[in-house]
Amino acid sequence: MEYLKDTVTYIFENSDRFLEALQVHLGLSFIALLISMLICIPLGIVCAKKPKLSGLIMNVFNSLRVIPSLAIIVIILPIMGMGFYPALIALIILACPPITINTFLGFRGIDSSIIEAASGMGMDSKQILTKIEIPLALPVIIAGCRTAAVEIIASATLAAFIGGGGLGTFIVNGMGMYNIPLLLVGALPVAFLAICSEVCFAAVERLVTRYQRD
Amino acid sequence: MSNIIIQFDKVSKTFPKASKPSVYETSLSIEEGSFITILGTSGSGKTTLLKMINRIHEPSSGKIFVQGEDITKVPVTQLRRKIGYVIQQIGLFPHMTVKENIATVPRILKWDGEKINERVDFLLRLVHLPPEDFRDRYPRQLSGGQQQRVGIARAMASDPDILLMDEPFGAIDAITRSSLQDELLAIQKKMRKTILFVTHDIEEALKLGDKIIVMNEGKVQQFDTPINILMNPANEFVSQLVKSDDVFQLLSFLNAEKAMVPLQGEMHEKSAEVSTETNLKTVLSLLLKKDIDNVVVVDNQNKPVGQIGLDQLKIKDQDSLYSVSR
Repeated sequence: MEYLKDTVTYIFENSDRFLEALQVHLGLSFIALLISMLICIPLGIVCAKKPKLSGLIMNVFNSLRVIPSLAIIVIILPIMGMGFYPALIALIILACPPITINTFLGFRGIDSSIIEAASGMGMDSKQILTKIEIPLALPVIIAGCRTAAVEIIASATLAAFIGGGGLGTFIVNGMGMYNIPLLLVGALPVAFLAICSEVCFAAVERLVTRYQRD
Repeated sequence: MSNIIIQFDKVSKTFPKASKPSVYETSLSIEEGSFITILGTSGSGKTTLLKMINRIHEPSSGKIFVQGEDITKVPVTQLRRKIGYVIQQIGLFPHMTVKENIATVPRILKWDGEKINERVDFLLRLVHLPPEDFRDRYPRQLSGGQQQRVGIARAMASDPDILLMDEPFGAIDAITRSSLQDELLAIQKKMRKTILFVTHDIEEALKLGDKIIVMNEGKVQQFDTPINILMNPANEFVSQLVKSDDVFQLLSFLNAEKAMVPLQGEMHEKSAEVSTETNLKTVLSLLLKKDIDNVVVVDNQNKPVGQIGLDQLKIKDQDSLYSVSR
């Protein structure tokens, strides 16, 4: 409890620094998630439509998944140097596998008879994509984004190691100085953000699967 | 007298990498307003034949004409919007309500909202699902039979002249299937659609079809009325197919209308009256009574429209006769 009190005091006394770090952390996470969604949802759709391509891409992403986030961030360092953008790139690389794989699985999971009925009724491929396939794959795609979002928020902490800023800075400093309250200034908000993102995505997921419940 | 609505002109289909054709060269004419069943085992080419009409499969050779127009000359989506399509797996869109499912094609065709609502309610009543109970339900809240009713309503949404049905009742329990068959017959009578209905069930084919296309190994074996398929099989295969079931049992799936011949001369004294809907098994049992020579068929206004004697129920094929006497 003593630590916690010191943590809160620190946050109030250094609210400028805290808010800036929070802003960077959120910005970094949000932009990384947005960019990876923009790249990976279409990529997943292409994979689902082109079985030849999907084998290669799925293998690459599955192996990418095995690499720990810290390793990715450290690998980026000698290639791109320090700062915000290298951290951003690292986070995008982390978020890509779950989003692409889930989009692919969401599309592949659609019962082929539904597509046959749709095209047999005279829907063109664009109508099938927007009215049938995307709505039906959406719950799985959102589940992928949910995984990616938590991964990004947690890993954005590590961005501090390569000068990307964010709440990780407090953790790195706190660890270095063995200052537990300072460490918590970074760690607690990160945990809180991760939980918030889980709750938000769960709500969206419920919204798009309303038809599956009574 | 009748117009030809679908014409196959020397159509064949060989799938890529297949050693032999799924459908050999076939020429057929389908009359407008008729109910055609396509009967065959799996791999007989019956589904391939059906799916060439809405270009889910493209013929390898030959041409198909729908309402006089070569189907390759119109955009495929436009062609399909004029042809209702019902499949065994039903394929309702699970994320859409019953109403949204049925309204799919009208919405693509940009009908106005009021007209769509009226159409949806009309179709739901036609398939015996009260609109106020079912309009806003999701497919998963319906039984299999109810789902296929919605499937049929959806296929008829834009009032197409032709319905293609690929084993629509194949996955539905026997009792529900039988009532769906009766309802489909009533709908066809009322709406005068041309229906092509694929089935592997001979009883279903006899009961529903004005005419039956019997297919085996990619070839049309016989294209004829149910009574002729049963009594006058064109070849060994059809004869075997008919024989594999109890002939008396099969007679119960045909109604008097399908076997009657025009009335001859004045009314016979030794005759009984039956309605057009009476099945032929009942007719036969009447004919077997000693004081009855023929049966007069009357329509629902009690007007005589035809007659049936033992001659009409004779099996012309020697093999089948043997199987009956056995």
